[in-house]
Amino acid sequence: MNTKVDVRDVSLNYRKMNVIDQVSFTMETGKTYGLIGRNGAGKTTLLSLLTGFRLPDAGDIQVNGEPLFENRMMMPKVNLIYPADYADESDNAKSYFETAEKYRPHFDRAYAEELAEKFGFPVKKPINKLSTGMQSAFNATLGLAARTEVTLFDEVYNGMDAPTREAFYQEFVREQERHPRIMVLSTHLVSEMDYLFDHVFMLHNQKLIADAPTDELQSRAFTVTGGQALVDEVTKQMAVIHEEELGGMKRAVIYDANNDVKQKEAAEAGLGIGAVTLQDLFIYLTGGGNGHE
Amino acid sequence: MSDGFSAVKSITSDLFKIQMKWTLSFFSVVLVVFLLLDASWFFTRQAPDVTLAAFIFEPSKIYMLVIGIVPWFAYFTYFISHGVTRKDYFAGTAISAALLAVGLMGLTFAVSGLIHMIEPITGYAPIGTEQSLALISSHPAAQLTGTMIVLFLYYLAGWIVAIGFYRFHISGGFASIAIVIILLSITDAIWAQGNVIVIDWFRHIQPLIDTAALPFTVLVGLSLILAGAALTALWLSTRRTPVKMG
Repeated sequence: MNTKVDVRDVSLNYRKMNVIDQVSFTMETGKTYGLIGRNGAGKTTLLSLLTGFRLPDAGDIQVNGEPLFENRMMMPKVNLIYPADYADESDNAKSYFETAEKYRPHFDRAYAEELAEKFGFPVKKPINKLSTGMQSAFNATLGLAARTEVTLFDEVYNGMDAPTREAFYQEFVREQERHPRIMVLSTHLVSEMDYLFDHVFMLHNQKLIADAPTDELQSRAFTVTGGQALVDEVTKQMAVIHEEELGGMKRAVIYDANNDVKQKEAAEAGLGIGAVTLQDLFIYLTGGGNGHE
Repeated sequence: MSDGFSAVKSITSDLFKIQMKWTLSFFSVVLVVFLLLDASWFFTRQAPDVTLAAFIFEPSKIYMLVIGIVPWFAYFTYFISHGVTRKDYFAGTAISAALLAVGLMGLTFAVSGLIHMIEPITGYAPIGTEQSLALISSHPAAQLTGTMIVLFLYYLAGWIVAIGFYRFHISGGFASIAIVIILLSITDAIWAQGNVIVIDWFRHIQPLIDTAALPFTVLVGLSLILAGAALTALWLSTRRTPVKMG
């Protein structure tokens, strides 16, 4: 069954600070959403709202047209996987699998055990005795094997070594093909994970500043390179989000929904045109660049 | 998870099993202490002046207060993370607490019965075997009912402290302790109990209401009203509480 999540004008305040500000978007089954933002942008808070861990101060979150918060039918469909503190957790992964099997409608125990073997963590060892990387692999296993209609991974890779991260990404893709669902990957390791995203939500200063399919978002940005004076002249009326100068040369990054026309203008003026990676776009849009807009 | 799955039943069962394991450990320790204290009987042949049921009652109150605190911190986030609603978690906790009070008293009476059974063999005969608990009614069923209600209220008191600190931080935690002192004072006053936690201030008010003169059903009714008030306060604090992602 297809699942749809609607987030409408959601805001949240915490100790008189606005931590989520009028965020709206929708999500649909079969798509992987990248939730990207700098530290403190509100990613984890937004995910906690999407899981019903918190009630927004304004706006509403619906799953298949029904309010999510405290909804007995909907809450088991949503699963947030986050780097939990297991310092006092003496239970083992096996016992967690048993609980998940009981409370999660589609939890696949055999698959969970297969993943444990693949990621290389013991299921009978107390979780607080596992390394941070193994705890993260255990978390990832719970998320993948629960097969909830909405699966949210918050910085799930913490502590995982490169081979385990790669194994997780591969399994993630396979699982999305076999059991399509709404998957959200919250991260600031954009360059490593961007190929997994069908769609990007970019949070900055508690607001959603980008909500678009990954290709479309990237196609809104391009670089122009050429002599400094010419670049300045051509980009005068464009939305420049980043600039670099070296000798007499200048490179500017343009971010504009109407980029076809702008690119054509720049190319006709004799400037070199280039693409922008999602990671660079993220850096420039969230204040890491030195654009003049 | 089957189609007929009930989260409340499942939470109740899970929490009851976990807490009953703790309770068995607690009971074993108290039983050993009781037996050690009574070991003098084998040497003096003088009957001990307290039964197991009476001996365990005061420690049980403290025990229920403490385990009322623990599950919230250990299991609230855990179960909500598994897609359980606050309402179901709340109901499961309340029911399992009531069952725990029944279980603890059932265990006490079962072991007391065993001790009673071996009496002809050993000659062991503690005074007051028939008046197992120091409650106002002499009827065993009434004593049992009253005891379970008191233990349940002590569990709720622990739960109030837990949610006070969890939801309302340090200041709320201390406020919840004040509320609990009042709750337990009233509980002990209703059942004419010596108060093990509360300072003596309540004894000045207690004589104004002579609970000993009230019928048993009224005492039960008053206790249930108190439990209802505590549960209402707990639910109001729980229903929108943010889940801490620790």
